[in-house]
Amino acid sequence: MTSNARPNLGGLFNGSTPPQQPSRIGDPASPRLVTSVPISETPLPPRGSASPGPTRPSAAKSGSAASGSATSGPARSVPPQSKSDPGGRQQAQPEVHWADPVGLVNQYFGLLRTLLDLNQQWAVACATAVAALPRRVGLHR
Amino acid sequence: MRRVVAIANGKGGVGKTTLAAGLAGQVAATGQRVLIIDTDPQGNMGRDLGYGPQDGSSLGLAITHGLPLDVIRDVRVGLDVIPGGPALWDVAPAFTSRGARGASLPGLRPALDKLQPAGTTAGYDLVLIDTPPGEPILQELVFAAADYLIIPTRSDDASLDGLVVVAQRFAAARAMNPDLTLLGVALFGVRAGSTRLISRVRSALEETLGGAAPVFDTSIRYLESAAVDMRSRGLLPYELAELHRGDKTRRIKQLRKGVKVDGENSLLSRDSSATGLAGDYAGFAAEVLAAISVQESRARVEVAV
Repeated sequence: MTSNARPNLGGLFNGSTPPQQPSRIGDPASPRLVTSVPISETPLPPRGSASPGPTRPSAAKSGSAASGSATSGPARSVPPQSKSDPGGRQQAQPEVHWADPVGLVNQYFGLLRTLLDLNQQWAVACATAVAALPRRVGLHR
Repeated sequence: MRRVVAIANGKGGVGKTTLAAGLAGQVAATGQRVLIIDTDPQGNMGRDLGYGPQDGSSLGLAITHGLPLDVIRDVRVGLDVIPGGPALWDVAPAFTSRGARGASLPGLRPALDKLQPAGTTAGYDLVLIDTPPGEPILQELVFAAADYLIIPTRSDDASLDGLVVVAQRFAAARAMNPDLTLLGVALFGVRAGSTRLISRVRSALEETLGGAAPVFDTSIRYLESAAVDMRSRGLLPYELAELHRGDKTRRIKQLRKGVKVDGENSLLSRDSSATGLAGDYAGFAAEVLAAISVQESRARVEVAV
C-alpha cells in the first residue's frame, strides 16, 4: 500500500458521499425489477394466423398461474384466455413500458445531487480563496 | 444494546475468517457470551473452531424463509456458532427470484433478534458475522443486520481495492441501516517487528479512511506455522499458546527420559511466536470492545440530547 494516488473513502463511510450503485437488496418491490405491466391491461390486436406467437404455459389456462411457473408470482396477473384461442396459445406481444415514476424520482434527486455537488465545489473554492486572502495581501507568510 | 459486528472486505484472503474466529474466542474466554455467524458458503469457520463441515442450510433458510436458526452451542465455553456452508449459495438466486416478483426476503435481522444464549433470557454480549468477499448480496444482507463493521486488510496495494469495494457496499447498505458504523480497520498478516512497514501502511490507511474510523493499534502478525497448527487442530490462538506451554513440559520430561521428542505430530510453530500471536488477539479484542463502548456512549449522548 505504497501508492500516492489513494482514494478517500471517508465520505462513503460517514454518509456524506452517496454510493455509485444503490443497494442490491434495498427496496425489493421497486418497479425496476418488473420490466413490463401485466399483459391483461394492454390488449393488442391479434396478428394473422400465419405467424403464431409463442406458447403460454398451460398452467395459465387452469387459473393456477403461481403453481405452474417459477417466474409468475402473486403480483402478476394472467391474461384471460379468449374463446378464439382454445388451445391456450397467445400471440407474441411486445413488452410495453410505462413511465417509471421511481426512476423519474431517482433521476430528479440525482440531478439535485449533482447541483448540490457543484454548489459545494463552488462554495469550497470561494472559502479557499477567502482563507488565502491574508497570505496574498502579505499579512501572513 | 445490540452488538452485532460484521467482519468484511471486498477482497478474499485478507484474514476475515481467522480474525473473526480469533476475536470471538478471545472475547468468549473473558467470560462474555459470544455468537459467531459464518455467512460464507465455503464454511471455513469450521476449520478454525474445529466443529467440522456443515451445509449452512439453517442460516440459508433463516435468511430466505424466516425459519429459526439452528445454533451449535458451546463450541467453546460461552461461544455459540451458526455455521455456514454450500447451502448459502442459494441465497442470492432466491433473492433475485423473489425481487423479480416484487417480494422481499426476511433477511438476517429478524432471526438474529430472536436468538438467545442457552439458559438465559438475555441476549449475546457480542455477535460476530463473518462474510464472504465475492457474494455482494450476502454481504449487504449482513450489513443490513449489523451495527458495526470491522475491515481486516493486509499491507499490499490489492487490499486497498477490497477496501474500496466494501466502502461502496457499506454506503449502499446504510440506506437501509443508517446506524451501521465502521468500527475500524484491522491490519492483518504483517510480519512481527516490521515497525516501518506497519507505520507506513497505517498512515496510508488513515489517509484513505479520511478520519471516518480509526486503524486499530494492534495488528495481527503473520505466522504461517501457527496458522497451520491452529487450522489442523481446530485451535484458537490462545489455545495454541496453552498447548505450547503444555508441550514444553512434556518435551522436557521426554528429554530427561532420553526419548526422541520431534515426532510427526509435533507443533510447527514456536512457543514464543504462538504466545505473541495470542497476545495480538488479546490486545485486538480489548481494542474492539473499547471501541464499541465508545460508540455506545456516543449513541447514549445523542439520545439524551
